Amino acid sequence: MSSISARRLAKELAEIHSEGCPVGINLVKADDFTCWWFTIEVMGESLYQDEKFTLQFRFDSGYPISSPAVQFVVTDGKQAPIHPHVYSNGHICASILGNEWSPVLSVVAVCVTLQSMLASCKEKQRPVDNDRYIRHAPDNPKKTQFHYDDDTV
Amino acid sequence: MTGFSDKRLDKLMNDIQDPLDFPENTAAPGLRSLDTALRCPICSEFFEGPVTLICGHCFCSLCIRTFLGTKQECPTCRRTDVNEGHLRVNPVMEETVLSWQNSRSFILQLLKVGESRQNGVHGSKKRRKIDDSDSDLDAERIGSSSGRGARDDDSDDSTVKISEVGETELHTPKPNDFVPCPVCSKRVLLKDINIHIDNGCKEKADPSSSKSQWAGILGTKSQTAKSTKRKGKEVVSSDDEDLPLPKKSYGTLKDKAIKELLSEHNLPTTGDRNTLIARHQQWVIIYNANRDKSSKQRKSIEILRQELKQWESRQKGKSKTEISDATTYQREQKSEFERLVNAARPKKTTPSSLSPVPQVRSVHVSFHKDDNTIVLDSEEETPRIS
Repeated sequence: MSSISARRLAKELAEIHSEGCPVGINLVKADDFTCWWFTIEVMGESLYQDEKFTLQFRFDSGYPISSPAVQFVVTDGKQAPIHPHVYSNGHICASILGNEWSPVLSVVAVCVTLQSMLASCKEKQRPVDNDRYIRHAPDNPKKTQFHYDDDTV
Repeated sequence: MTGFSDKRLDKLMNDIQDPLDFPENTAAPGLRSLDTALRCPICSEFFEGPVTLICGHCFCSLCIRTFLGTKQECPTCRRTDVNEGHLRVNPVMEETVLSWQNSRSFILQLLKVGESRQNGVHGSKKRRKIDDSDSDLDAERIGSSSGRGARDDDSDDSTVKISEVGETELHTPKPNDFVPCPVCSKRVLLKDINIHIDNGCKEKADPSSSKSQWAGILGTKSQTAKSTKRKGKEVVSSDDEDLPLPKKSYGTLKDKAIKELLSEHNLPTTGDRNTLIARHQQWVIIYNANRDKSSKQRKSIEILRQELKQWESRQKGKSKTEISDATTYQREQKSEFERLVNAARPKKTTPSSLSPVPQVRSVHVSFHKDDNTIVLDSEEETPRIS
């Protein structure tokens, strides 16, 4: 039996394979319907020129009603971008990944949003509470309850 | 490439139909976007029991009911003043989707034929499309034979077909002709139409039917074949009047009452209180979503029960993995454990509990200086502003 989440992800994957991803986003691996990797780079003028990051999506059986767990990969020499909303363990504080997730969004839509979040960054710095957060951060960023007050991103 | 790969993923990928089956806009204008437009933005499948919110956005009934259970917001436009009560069935969309599903494989086949005529290539995909179209044509045949007649009773079934084949529009109906009721679109004898409408479209109120109704009330067994037919029709009409299941406020109900709610629908009454509540909530969603389909698309209650069972086994699997992830759970709850340990030993830790350290550990709170972003990883709401 194929669940709703698997069917929906299969459709998204089929679209990625036939239509390709938007510029700067590339599919690295999608061997199953639980974990996908993408590379993401910011095109044009930005603070992240020539940097390439790896994004990890983890899906549960509630997708797309429940949001995917999205974070930057920080193992095997990969680094999370230095950004006021990205913790050094790869966790991202972005409302669309939490309480503003909508099931009409897709994996590619999330990639594009994060790409533009990086592109609009004005100063490369870690979140102020980075050290304290990563000391106790749960493995799954969805278990963190972020508060989003910055509307500029 | 034949689609018989033993990989689960490949099988699923081949099984799936999506708008990409159609060529790009330049080759076949509008077809791909038409196929997209008739799909639910949540599940990406064709609308099943389409319903519309007050903002006009349309979803499968099951999808949007499930989502509204988590958050009262339109997924498309984020309008927040929406709830289940605003859902309106969209029978026109349902009809459109069904017609499109019927014609879809035929159109794909036409496109394929046109394409192969152009370049003389027979792709391996063509085989699949033709197979699809065969099965779809079958479905259409079944649909047309059983579908139309489903709402009418047996006696006027043949009449319906004849009048559909012949010209229906131009001749003036005589008193003994069947005409569609303007309210429920059921076909009724013209001379009976006013009685039919006055009775709230429930029953063609000819004398024999009222007789059989009285017979039913008085308990006299009527022996004619006609009266059994009437009974069958009454079942159909009472189905149409089925009301949606109301949402319950489980907080006010005792376990026993919840079990009664479940056994009303012949559902299992095993498990603890939370399981019972979750089961009933899901049942209400499944039941009401099924109700939003037109009567001939609805599934039987038995199938709905099976779906509930499948849902429950999936939920079980989910919660098991969550619990089995012990290290994460331990790490997550570490601060809570520490807090409880400290609280349990008030005398020893009195001096240190006054220091800010345990407080910081009890709830991971922090502020972004520039944008006031607070980060919590506990449910408690005691942010410590530093």
